[in-house]
Amino acid sequence: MRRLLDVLREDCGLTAIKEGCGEGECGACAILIDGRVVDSCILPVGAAQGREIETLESIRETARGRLIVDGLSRGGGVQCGFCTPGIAVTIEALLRENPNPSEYEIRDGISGNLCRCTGYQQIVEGVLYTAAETRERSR
Amino acid sequence: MSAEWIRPRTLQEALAIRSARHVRPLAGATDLYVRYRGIAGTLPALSEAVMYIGHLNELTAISVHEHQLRIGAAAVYTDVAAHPATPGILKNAIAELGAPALRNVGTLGGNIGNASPAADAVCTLYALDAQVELASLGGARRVPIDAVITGPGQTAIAEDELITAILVPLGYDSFSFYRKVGTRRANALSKLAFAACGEVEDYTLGHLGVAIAAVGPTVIRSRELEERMRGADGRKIANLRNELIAGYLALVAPISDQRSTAQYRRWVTENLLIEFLDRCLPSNLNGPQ
Repeated sequence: MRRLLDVLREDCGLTAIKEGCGEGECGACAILIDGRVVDSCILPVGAAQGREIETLESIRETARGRLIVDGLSRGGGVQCGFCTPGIAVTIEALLRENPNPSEYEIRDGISGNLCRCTGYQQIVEGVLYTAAETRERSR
Repeated sequence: MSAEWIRPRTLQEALAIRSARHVRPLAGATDLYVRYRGIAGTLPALSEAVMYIGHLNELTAISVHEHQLRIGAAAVYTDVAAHPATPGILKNAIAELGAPALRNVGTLGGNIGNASPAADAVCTLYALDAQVELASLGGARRVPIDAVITGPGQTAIAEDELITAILVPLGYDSFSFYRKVGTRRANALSKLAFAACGEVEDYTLGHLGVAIAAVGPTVIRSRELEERMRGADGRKIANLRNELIAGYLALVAPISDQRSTAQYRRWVTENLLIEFLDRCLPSNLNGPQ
């Protein structure tokens, strides 16, 4: 059984997601299944049968998706960029469930995503910006 | 070679397949590629057929029956933690287990079937006196968690059985104590875990469960030592303290592996016993000082 990651990248051409560790530790391959964040590098494609899959390619076209990208950029949350697609997808899942997360809740939300460049503080600040801006615009 | 993938439509069909041939049941699949992956891009080097059961409604439901919580074996951790009846100690263990992406697919049934001595959620199931429901075409039986897991990777689950549910008695955790020791907060497997919960009545200890994971071939729980603590007040616990610590340390048999050393595990077990006996129990037995 092939991994969902390989099917999405090789068969569907959705290359925003990345293979980092390949064992569910780093979150670079994060996607949404039925609205929940999942590591596609350890998911057999059969486990996704009949379920809704969202990747960064669709999320970044939405209003909040653009604000997530904007927040990461303004906060300085992107350096080499390898972890960024998985982080952006994870932030989308977090904000869908909790539009007003505390700093602790943000850190817990992205706890499965490793970033070796930023040290996370910039990412957290980016999410705070995105959350505030999303609430502001929906008023 | 790629393993065959079987997707039954119902639990009944899954049980029929299980009785007819050898298949490896699979729900969250979080260990499949970790354990059986070959080099990058290759299919898992697993020769057995895999039977996916993560989608079966009969296995994902969570419900309360009288004083018992019934957790479907394939309910994902996120849903178990979100259920209002789930005991606090199990919620704590789940909050420290993996990260959201793993808690969205991982299951208690998988944690039990894997039978890892370091399984965090399983450790709390010992302390909670949970039972495991095992079903086959011939019917279902309920087995205490410590009788299901018999050794590292070893279980008493028969070849034609599936884990269908975990049954957790409710109301036995007026206090609880859970500590996980790992390399980092998220996604780390435990060096060890310590789970205890019980009841206090009239300043004495009633029902009690103490479980320690990753310090022996299975989770360690001693009914004998718990019996000595039963009915004790704060003063008696203080008197028994040294004996209890020595008693538990005589039971643990940690190993050294890639995550930790036997000596470290022994030290931390002792420290957690001290914290439990000197701080947690007195604060619950004596009330606010």
